Amino acid sequence: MYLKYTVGTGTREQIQTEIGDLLTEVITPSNTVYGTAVVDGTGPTAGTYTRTSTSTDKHLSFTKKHAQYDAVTMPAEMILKVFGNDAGATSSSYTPTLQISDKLGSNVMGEYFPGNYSHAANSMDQVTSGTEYHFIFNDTTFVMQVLQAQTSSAANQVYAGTIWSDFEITAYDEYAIGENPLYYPGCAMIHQQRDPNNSTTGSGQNGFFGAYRFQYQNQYNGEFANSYLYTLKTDAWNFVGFDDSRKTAAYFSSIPSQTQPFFQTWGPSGSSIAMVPLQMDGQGPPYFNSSTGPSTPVAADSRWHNVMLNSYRISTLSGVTGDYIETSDNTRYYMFSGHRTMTAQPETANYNSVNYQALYAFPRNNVVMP
Amino acid sequence: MAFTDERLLEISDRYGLTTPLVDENGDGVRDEDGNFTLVAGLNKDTFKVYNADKNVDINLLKKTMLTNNNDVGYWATMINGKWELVFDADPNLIDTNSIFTEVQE
Repeated sequence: MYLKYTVGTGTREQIQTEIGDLLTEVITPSNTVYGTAVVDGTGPTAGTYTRTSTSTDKHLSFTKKHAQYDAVTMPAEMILKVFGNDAGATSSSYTPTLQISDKLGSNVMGEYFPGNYSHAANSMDQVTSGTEYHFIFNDTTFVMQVLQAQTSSAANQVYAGTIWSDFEITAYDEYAIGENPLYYPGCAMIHQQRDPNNSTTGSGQNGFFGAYRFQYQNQYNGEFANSYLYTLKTDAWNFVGFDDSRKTAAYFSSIPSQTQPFFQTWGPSGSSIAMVPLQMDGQGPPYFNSSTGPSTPVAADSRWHNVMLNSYRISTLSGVTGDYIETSDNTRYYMFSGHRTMTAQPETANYNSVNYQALYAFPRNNVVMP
Repeated sequence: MAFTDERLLEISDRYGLTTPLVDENGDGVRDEDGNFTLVAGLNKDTFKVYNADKNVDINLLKKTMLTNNNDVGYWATMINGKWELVFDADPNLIDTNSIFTEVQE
């Protein structure tokens, strides 16, 4: 399912409840009270998501089972919390973003990292009239993106998003969850920047990218750990998610590279939009601007490169959040504007010379598993 | 006996919780080799660590079962055949079944 929800007037409790009712098809867009909505497609398989929040909560929580959940061999579950407080915020300070944690509610993404969503958290309140939320809600993938209510300056409009996608399970995953019940074959990719409807280079268009896995297995020593997210430059917009000179820390990235724009594919009929399955790269931070690599073992992911099911990086300039494309089999994919592409080294300068917007696409409906 | 700084860094690193020491501009402070000086994200004076047997009912390890303090940070993993539970402040742990052992060094 794809959902676009535009806030009208309501409390946090009312807005999160209405979004939850739309996602779980308790109501339809014609029944909304506190905002307006567009829904396209069908919901996930019954039992994949369990809504755990109530109408008196300030957040919307789901427990999610892995798309290939099996109570014996793959009992993988995790928690998604819309409007989850993060960045060390107290429970009285709710962000307009998505919180990720394991099924215990531990190992929360971004618990200590004020850089990751600080602009979204500081720039907007999640119930300001005109704030837009876009969701993908299917068995493998949960995407949430927030667009700040438009102001007089489009270049300063903040947007932020999180992609959660499952990996296709393997025999390795069955081993890993046997070792650690918190293990989950899946990951988050997060982004935050400004000017969501401008896909090209220009001043003031900056970006942040990060990738997070909780309880991945370190390929060096077999221990389970959480990946790192960027911590410095809490006031800056221009970084791609890792601390340079922390060459052995578990900073994960993406394929296609988060640092590079991604254009058309070509054939006899000219150019067309390319769709590349999005992968999380668990090898560690890239070193595009370093002369030497790490001299001690990197805390890399035993799974190394992981295809994020039903998640695609597509040709930049193809559209912006809320637009869609259809493949020849009539499968409809909704686009989400991502981070700005740019150099991978973050902390030595304020990179205002930034690049094209990354663009992602996700099917509105469930797609048959491989 | 209190945790050593090394042990504190080791536990913090396991959960992705070390941070670079920063200067007044928010930039990381580097050593002579160009590497960041790292500090533990967890506070040695306030954090708490507990072990539990591998075979405990996992539902007893949910944050909501362990503490009434929603603001306390919580991390968990399986290491050396035991559960390790870490909190950034005293959770006033709920342990009605006496299944947790506090780790103090």
